[in-house]
Amino acid sequence: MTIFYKKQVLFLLLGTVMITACQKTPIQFGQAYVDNSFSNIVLVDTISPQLSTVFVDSTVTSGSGAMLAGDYPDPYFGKVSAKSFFELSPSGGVTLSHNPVFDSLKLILIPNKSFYGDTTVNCDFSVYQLSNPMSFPQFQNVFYNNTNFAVNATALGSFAGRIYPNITDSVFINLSNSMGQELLNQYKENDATIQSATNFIAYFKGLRVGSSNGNMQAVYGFKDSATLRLYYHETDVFIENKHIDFKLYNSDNTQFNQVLSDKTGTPVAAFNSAKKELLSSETNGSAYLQYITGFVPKIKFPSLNQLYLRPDFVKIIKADLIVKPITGSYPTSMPLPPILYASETDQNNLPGGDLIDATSSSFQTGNLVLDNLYNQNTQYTYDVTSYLQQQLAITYTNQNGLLLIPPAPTRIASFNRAIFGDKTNKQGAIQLKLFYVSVNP
Amino acid sequence: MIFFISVVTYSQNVTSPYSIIGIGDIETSYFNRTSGMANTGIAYRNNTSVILNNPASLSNLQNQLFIVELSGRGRIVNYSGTGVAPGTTGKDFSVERFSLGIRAAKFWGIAVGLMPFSTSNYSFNGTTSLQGTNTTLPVTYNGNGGINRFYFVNGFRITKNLSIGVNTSFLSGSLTRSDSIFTADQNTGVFTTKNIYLRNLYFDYGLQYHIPVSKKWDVSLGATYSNQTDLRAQTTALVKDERGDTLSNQTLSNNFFTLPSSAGAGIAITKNKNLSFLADYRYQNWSSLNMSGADYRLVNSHRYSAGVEYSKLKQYLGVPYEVYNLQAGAYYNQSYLDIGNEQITDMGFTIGAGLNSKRSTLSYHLSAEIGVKGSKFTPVKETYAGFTITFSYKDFWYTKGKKFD
Repeated sequence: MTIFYKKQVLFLLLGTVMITACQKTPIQFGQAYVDNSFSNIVLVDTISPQLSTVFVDSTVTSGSGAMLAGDYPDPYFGKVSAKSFFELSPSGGVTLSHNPVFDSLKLILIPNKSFYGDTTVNCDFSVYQLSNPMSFPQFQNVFYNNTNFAVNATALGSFAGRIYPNITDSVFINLSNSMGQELLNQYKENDATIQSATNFIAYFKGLRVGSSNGNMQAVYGFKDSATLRLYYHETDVFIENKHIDFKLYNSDNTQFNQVLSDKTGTPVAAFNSAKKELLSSETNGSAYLQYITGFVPKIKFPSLNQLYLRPDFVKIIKADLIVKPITGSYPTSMPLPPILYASETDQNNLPGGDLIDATSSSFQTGNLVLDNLYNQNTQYTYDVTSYLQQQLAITYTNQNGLLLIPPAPTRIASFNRAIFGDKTNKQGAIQLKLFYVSVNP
Repeated sequence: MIFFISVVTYSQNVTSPYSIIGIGDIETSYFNRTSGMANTGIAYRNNTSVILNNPASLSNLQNQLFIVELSGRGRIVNYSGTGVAPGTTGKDFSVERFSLGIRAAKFWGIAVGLMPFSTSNYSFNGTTSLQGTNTTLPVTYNGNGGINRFYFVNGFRITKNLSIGVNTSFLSGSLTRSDSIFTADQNTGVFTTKNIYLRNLYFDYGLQYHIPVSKKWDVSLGATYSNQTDLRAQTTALVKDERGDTLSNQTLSNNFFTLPSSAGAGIAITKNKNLSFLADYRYQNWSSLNMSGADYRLVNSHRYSAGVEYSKLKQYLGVPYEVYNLQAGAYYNQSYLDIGNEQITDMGFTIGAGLNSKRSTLSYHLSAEIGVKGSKFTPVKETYAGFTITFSYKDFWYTKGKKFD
């Protein structure tokens, strides 16, 4: 057999893959001949999550960045009252010339536009002076919603009137003239008390602002930059009106809000330090959320393992948790929290890692949808796909679940709350829509 | 040579919607000289070309001839039908056949090679129900693959006028059927790929009888036959999610796909040894297999074709050789697919021309066809045009001294 190199080269050229890489042309024919029974996606909505409410009897309320004062009646949480405790420090660089004459002493509060409850009713605030300086117990550097400090018997001043949170930019509360005169005298004498914050706090202690009689209809939020202003005038040739400011002092982290609630006769009355978690079936088919008063809903998935009973089950491909506030529980005066994180927890009910959105890698916020038309489709939605895939892999019985918690620091500066219905609640039932890959065994 | 084998692939890109049924489209072309005559050639003999239409024709290869052939086919198809957008077309080109032929002994010709037996190529969008609801999810269906035919043909001349032959083929290949189901938000999905592996030996028997009627006229008769053959079919399924993780990988079944018995008959009338008239009839017995599906049945197929070839001959050292050839042909095929009580027909015309350079070495053959598959009564009608190009490299292998026939 002779070998012809030229021919072989030619054949090599011919032999190279001469296939035009075209796109396959789709032709709509053949649906009748496909067998879809082998693999499928199946939707299961009969695995119902279990709802319960977790009660935390003391919540840290230091460092909220807000002063909360007032009360409001809540049909679910009882009468909620808030009082703000804070210290003041003198401003330096004040020089008095001759004959300063005291005019008035006012506490100036600046609303931060937040409120909860009915603000069409007049407010009724009283300002009291603390009897002792605020101090931390050993090993503690924060205060709680149930922390209390004693006050003097007589109020320093009060304010009755209407606050429009979006319009009113300052609230002036008149305080006791004798206190004002005493402070001016200290400046006249250049007393040691007004020389430093420490000295002043030891002398003045601090103030508490709250409702006078516990009958207010709304809680108001103020910026944590209140000012105690001492108005005086000096007579020389002309009358010159001047003032001395004492600013809110929080370098020692003592500013906090006391938030208490009287739960008598409410659905949450059963909670106390002994009963810290109750199933929704024990609380009117609902779970309760108001972080600042200590209520956090917990969602568990005890029947998730039912998926293994299905012989065609392979893997959870998508799972959506839909949590619905019950109809009529969120009037415009008492709105829902705009953002709720879903925090992983276990039998200890302490918040852990928050669920992350797979595409944006940021925390899931619940994507609250408000149905203002029918009030039936208001809901928070969470993608619990990877969470449930992990939970399904756990073989031992557990109390793992998700806590719905608003983000910090707003959660301790607001009263936004929600009442969620469990699977039996016709006013708004919790739902799990779970899609799994089914392969014929 | 292994390089050439690896090159003959089945990546046809022209979509063939009917190839979802059975083992795909069963190839009717031989990708050789007879392609210019509508693949008519059961009674055809050529001494310098590998004619697989009838295995017996291998016995006619020129003495001590060694031949390598490579063929490719290009097509352009226009689709029409209900649900097909006007102007939908597809085109492709791929290498289809490789053959190596030798005249081993005075009465014995051998050819080996590779060509497609069937191909499957389709793509369409559909829906599947989301179990547990009344809604559906979108699904994309795709089909690929085909069965290759590795053949080993032997043709023997029994007497001066009678030849017999047998084509021993190993059919092997896989058909891929995949579907992709997406959830409504398109972010997650399930991707299932089923592979059907088919293999078995397949035998094709042939016979040719040559009658020299007079000095001017020759008549040849040919017949072919294949047995009903079960192709072993193993189906596996692989399921993956959108991240590529395997969810399931299993063998679904081990059963058979039955190829029917088939037969063919042909006649060739040659004048002056250079002008030939040919006619073929090919038959496949599908009806007895009772294969059917949702709205289709596989029925007996009949293929009628005819062709004419003019070969310009010259004498060289007492041996006639062909300078060039010209061909024309026509075919009418009632295929084995009956969809909705309408049997799919395939008909068309072909022309061809071939050129041989000097004594031996390289030859070229180019054929073109134009045809219609289906009709306005079938779900899809395909109007197509294509060409087949065959390159032949011929040489003689030497034993002791040259020998001429």
